[in-house]
Order: sequence, then C-alpha cells, then structure tokens
Amino acid sequence: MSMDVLSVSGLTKQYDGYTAVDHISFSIKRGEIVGLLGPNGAGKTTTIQMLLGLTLPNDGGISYFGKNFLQNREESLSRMNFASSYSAVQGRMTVYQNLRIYAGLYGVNETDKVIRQLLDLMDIVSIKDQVFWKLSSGQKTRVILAKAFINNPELLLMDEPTASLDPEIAEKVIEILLDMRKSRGVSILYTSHDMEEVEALCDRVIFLDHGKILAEDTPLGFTKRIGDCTLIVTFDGEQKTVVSHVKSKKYAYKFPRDEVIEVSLPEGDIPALLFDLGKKKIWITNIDVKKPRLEDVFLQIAKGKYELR
Amino acid sequence: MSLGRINTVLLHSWYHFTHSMETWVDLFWNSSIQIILFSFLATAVSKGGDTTSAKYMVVGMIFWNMIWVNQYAMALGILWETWSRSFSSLFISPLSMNEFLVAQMISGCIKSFVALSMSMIIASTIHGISLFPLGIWFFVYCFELMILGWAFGFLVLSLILRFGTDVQSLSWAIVFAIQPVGGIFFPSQYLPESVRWISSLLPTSYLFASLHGQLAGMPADIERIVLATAINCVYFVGSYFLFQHQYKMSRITGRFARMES
Repeated sequence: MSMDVLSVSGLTKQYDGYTAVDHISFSIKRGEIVGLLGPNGAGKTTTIQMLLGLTLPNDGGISYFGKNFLQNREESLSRMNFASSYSAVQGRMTVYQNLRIYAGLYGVNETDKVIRQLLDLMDIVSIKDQVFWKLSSGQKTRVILAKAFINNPELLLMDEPTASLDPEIAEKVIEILLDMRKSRGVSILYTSHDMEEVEALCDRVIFLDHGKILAEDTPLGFTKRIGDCTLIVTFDGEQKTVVSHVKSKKYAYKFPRDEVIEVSLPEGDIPALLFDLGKKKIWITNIDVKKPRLEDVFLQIAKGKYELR
Repeated sequence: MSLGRINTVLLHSWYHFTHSMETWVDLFWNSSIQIILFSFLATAVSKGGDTTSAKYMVVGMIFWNMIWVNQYAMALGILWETWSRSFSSLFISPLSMNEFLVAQMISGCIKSFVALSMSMIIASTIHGISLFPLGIWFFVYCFELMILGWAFGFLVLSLILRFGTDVQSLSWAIVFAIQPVGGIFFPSQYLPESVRWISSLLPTSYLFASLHGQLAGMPADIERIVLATAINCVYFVGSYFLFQHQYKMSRITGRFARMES
C-alpha cells in the first residue's frame, strides 16, 4: 500500500464563532491528484492556508509524508510547494533573481541549471531579466509555476494555478502536471473553478461546502450520482404521439422547437425510448445526448440542491 | 536555524535594494541631507561660541543612523513583501520567521554602518568632527544603539501583525518619538522636569551622556553604559516576545495569511 503524502484528520478552523472548516479529514496518496472543490466561502482557502502553515487550526492534525506537520515544518515544506495565480514573488526583483532566491530557500543544488530548465519549461526565458511587477498576469502565473517546481516537490498544492493563463498555456500546464505525476509520482491537491480541467486532471474530487466535506468521489462517480442525462431528439411526426409516449414513461421533457424534444431520463433507457418512438412511426432525424458533467454537480452544490446519493 | 537560508534572505535584501530607489533615498539621501544640515547648523552654532552644543548635534545625528536604519530595515523588510504580495510565498518555503528576522537584522546592521560611515565622512568634511577619540567604545555605542533599533523594529512588526498595514506609517515614524527626550542631541538634564523621567527610561540618555563625556576628554562612563545595556536587554527581549506573541496570534486569527490581501 502506498504511503499517504498528506493526511488531514479532523481539521477545524473557527473565527469568532464562525466555523470556516469543520472537522474535515482526507488523505492523498503518492502520485494521486485530488481536486478540492466548492463554491466561494466553502472553506478551500482556509484549508490551504492551514495546509501551508500560514494559519493554525483550532483542532485536528496535518501530516506530511507520515510526520506531524507543525512538528516537522521545515522538512515538510522542503518536500512540497504551492502555486496560485493569486500569489506573487517579490515584484521589484527580476524573474531570475526571484527564482534564485527560492532555489536558495529550498536548498536546491545546481541552481543555475535548474533555473534554466524551468525557464525553458515555462517558456519564460525571454523575460528572465524583467522585474516581476511589470509582467502580464499570464507571465506572472508562469513564473509562480516555475517557483512551485523549483524544488522538485513530491507534493504540490495548487489554488487555481491556471486562472489567468491562455487556454493553450493552461493545457500545457496540465500536461506538465500529468507528466510529473507519471515520471516522478508527484501528488497534487488542486483547486479550480474550471471543471473540465478538474475532470481531465483529478483522480478524485472532494467537494467542500460550508466548511464540511459534502462528498468525495472520482469525477465520473460524481456525474453518475447526478443520474439522468438529457436526450435531444429531432423528429418528423406527430408531436402528440411523442408527448403521450414520453408522458407514459414519466420522463420530464420540454420542446425547445416544435420538432425537437428534450427528455431527461436515465442513460440506460435511451435505446428503448428511441426504439419505441420508431415503432410509433416517428421518424428520428437527429439525436444528441448530454451527459451530466462535474460542472452540473458543482452548480447543484453552489445552489444548495445537491443531495448525496 | 539555517545559515544557507539566512544568506539567501540577505541576497534577497541585496537584490531588492538594487531595484529600490525608495530605500536608497530613505537610507542614504535623507541621512546625507540631515547630516549636511546638522553640520552647517553646528558650524553656525559654534561660531556663536557654543562648540559643545554644536558637537552634540552632529554626533547625535551621526549615531541616530544606528537606531533609525536598523529599525527601518527590520520593519520595511516585511512591508516590502506585503506590498508585493510575496509575503506568503516566502513563509510557505522552509524559511522560518526567526531566520528571516536574523537576516533583516544583519541587513540593517550593514546598511546602518554604511549610513553611519557616510555621515561621519560628511560631518568630518563640513564640521571637522572626529569620532576617533571614542576608540573601541565607538563600536560599543553603535552596538547598543543597533539593539535599540532592533527592539523598535520588533515593536513595529508586532503592531503590523496586530493591526495590519493600516499602521505601516509607524515604520517610519515611531522611533522619532525618542528624539526629543532621548538625550541624543542635548543632555537630558535640559529637558523640562515633567518629561525627564521618560528620558531616564531610555538607554540613549545614558549612552549619549557617556559619549558626550568622552568627546569632552573624560573616560567612558562604564556605569551608565551598563545601565543602558540592562535597559536595552529588557526592551529587546520584551519586544521580541511581544513580536512572537503577535506572530502566533496572527496565525491563529488568520491575520498572517491575510497580510498581503
């Protein structure tokens, strides 16, 4: 069994009687990528601040690599790193100088070689002598990512790291992260509002709401929990025949246009419905199936409509 | 405590210094203008016959750099990171707060000796004053004033951790509170009696009394220096523990993580 690189147990944070994080427990194994999702105010930021040691919990424990974090802060932090599109490095210093400083703080050997590789990897060689504050937000984010990779971390905590990146760069970052996991077994705790990105990257997703873990599953598992998909059928035939059959099956439906029906039904019922409509002399000219996505789960949670199935 | 990380923070200070016009102006331009002004003022006063007061003014301004620059370096070391929103990036690395503070103290020490040397050269050129008669005690006075500067640095940092950047202007202002009552530019005995007790609580009163005596040809006043050292120790240790308390509290209340937001 692989070791937990991060283990959180009963983590709680209260501010003036308000519980921002409420007894959450989870773990991340070596090479695992876990999404930490939730609407604004769910407790993600406070959780990450505690995981980084910037904020002290009221209760509960954090262990990195099998050791208590607060008692082994230096060792833990030297084996991990953090990136967020909202964080920064010293604005008055150049990109190279900043990376040189963080290499020193993390005790990196062969500093120049490592920095050169990172500048290449993040495609920021041309801006290495520019001061950080003058860079565009996308360039800044790439520098922050280079900083996050500087110590070859075994664990990366990432808070919307691609938020200000162009789609092609964001895609490249995802590729880099997946490659790091594959080649070095890097584990990642990832927060993002881009559900497509989370689906592409994460092995497991933890949904937080009001400081509590609402649910934990694979991205696919979550979408299965939501159940029904939407079948969009364009047809040639009598509308009332279609309605009467769909009604008899007790499916929810609507007509965006006279000849198009959208039916909400379990995925497995689709073939039977289409077969039955065919038997009733309904000529089907087009079919489209919209499966539930992680986005739908997220929206349900944000609207307070999500129920654990 | 890692020497490597302390060295790295010193390198960070140097890199930042080379890109920060404000720091150059605050530390060297202001110090130079002030010592030029005080040297001219002293020359004018001494032409009126009062050479002692003239000497006190210039010497006071030269040594003032030790307190001001060390306090400034410590407080601004954190504020620059806060303004840059890079504060959390530093402290989520293995760097500890104590390592960061030690580096800021060393950085302040170096900057203050540069500012002090520059002031000495200017004062010597304009007013012809020399601090060589102080001998080895010159370094003792410098060290004592440096400790006081660090104590004020801890105090300012504690206030910033407690009240946030709303009180950042204290980083420049707070230490000036001791200028009128610290016996720096004139002996404390000339203060109004109602505020003289404040002077007795400040190590500068005893240090400058000894220093002035030496410049008048007397030996260093060991008793006063020991007393100043004792008061300095109380302030340094007290302000350090106040800082540590505020640092812990700011991590409990979440203020530390919100410093840069």
